[in-house]
Amino acid sequence: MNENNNMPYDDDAFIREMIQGAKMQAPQNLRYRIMHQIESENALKPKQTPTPVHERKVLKDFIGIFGVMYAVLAALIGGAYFLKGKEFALSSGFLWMVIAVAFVFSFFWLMTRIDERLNDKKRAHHISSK
Amino acid sequence: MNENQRVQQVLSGNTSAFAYFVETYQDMAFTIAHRICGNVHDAEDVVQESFVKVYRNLHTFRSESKFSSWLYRIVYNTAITHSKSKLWLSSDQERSLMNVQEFSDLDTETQILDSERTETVSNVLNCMPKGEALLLTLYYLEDNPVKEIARITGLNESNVKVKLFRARQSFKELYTKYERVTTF
Repeated sequence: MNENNNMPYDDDAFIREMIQGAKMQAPQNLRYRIMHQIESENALKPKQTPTPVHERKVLKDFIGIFGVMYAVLAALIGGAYFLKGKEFALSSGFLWMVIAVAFVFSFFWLMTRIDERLNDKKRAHHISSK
Repeated sequence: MNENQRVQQVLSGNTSAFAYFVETYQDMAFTIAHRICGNVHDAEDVVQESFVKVYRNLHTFRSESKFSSWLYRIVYNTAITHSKSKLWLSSDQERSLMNVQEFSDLDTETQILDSERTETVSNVLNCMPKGEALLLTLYYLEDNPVKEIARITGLNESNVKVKLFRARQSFKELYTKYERVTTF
């Protein structure tokens, strides 16, 4: 008896022999049709690697925002030191002001990154839906 | 090189490595599609569509399962969608369908008299309900175990066993009838 049915072995062997002679052959050109379609689709697919222009933009934004931040902080600290004296420049009130300025610029940087990311997503979605 | 390594090759951008899978499995994929669609033209379209789907979704293939089972499952689903027909009928529906097809084919007696054994087997399989013919094809042509067949068709294992048993009975019954016709 066969393990998967209640049929005598001879019947099982008979059907196996019969069916194995009836395997169909795919047409000769089918393989070329399939490979041609795959290669064409592949050639038309937009490459997903980030462009150097995009990387340059991130660096430019970083230098721009934090460059201005350090310039403002330098002017602020210099002004406080020369106009109000060393005591004021080292006071906790002035330190909180410096932290507030750094926070505003960092927050601005965060916003630009989020905006950039959302734009990238929108652009990718637009390309894939075309 | 094993199949998982070939899959990795394709995923790393070597499109031509995919030709191996097409070459190896196109005949069986075509046989499955033909059993479900019932004609060569639709079967060709189904096989082409299935291989393209496989290529596009190759990154989702889990290497712990057999590539062939995964592919045949896609061919099976694509063929079902393409043919828009119900593959698994109730046993009463299957019997009545088999009788109609059986008699209409027996009318073309001259055709059967000229056919060789291979053609007779194909005719018998064409007369059987599509689902049963497909099960016999998967079980005997590829030596797929019941577990793999269940995975491909989405049926449970005991259901596959019952349907396989019925398919064998139908095949034997129809084959004997055909033989009888060709003898007289």
